[in-house]
Amino acid sequence: MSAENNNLVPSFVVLQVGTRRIALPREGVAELIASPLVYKFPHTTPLIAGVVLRRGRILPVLDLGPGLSGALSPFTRFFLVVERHISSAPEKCAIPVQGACELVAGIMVPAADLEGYVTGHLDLNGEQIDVLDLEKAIALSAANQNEWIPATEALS
Amino acid sequence: MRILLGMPRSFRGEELIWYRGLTVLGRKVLPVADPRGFLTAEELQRLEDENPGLLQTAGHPVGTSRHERERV
Repeated sequence: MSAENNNLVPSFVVLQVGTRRIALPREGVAELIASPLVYKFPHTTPLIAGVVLRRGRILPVLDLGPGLSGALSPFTRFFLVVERHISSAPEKCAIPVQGACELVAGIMVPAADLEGYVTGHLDLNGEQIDVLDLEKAIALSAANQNEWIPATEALS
Repeated sequence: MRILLGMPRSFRGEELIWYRGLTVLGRKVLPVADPRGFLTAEELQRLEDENPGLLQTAGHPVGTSRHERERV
């Protein structure tokens, strides 16, 4: 990660999920990890691709691909560890990422539509990067994946 | 099995009934099945009759145990 940090300017982590580049507020991001193995077992929770082991802790792997890029994320061994707050309790989760993650400082322009999962936009050298509300993005991605399952079953 | 970790809160489906939690064996993560997640009341009674005390050792109410860490 490269840092252009300034205490007065908010910072964000830019990551790539599938084909889409997005940003998350830095406060919610713990670290970038490499994990060669994702352990999988039967379950019914949308978006969870398995779990990874990190320093003796088990982290659920949350694939945001269905909601953000319209497809499951391709295989990767890199994960961005983020902290969620579920029922007011913190839990770290691993998001599969493609390519490098970047720590950037910038001013976010708030999104006009506050109903969606994009809270605003960052201008990175002319590229507009969506800044996500992680919990809203998870909820939307889960809803998308729930729609996929019956559609996939109907096609098969 | 030396340790049983509660299911991460991100899980919210039927697996919370199927599994008591997760364990690590030989650097692999495995779910630990909860017999009450897939056996009928009759089958559970038969299991208890044939193995007195087994379910008391293995079980505690689903929902209260999710985030506990216990040694087995």
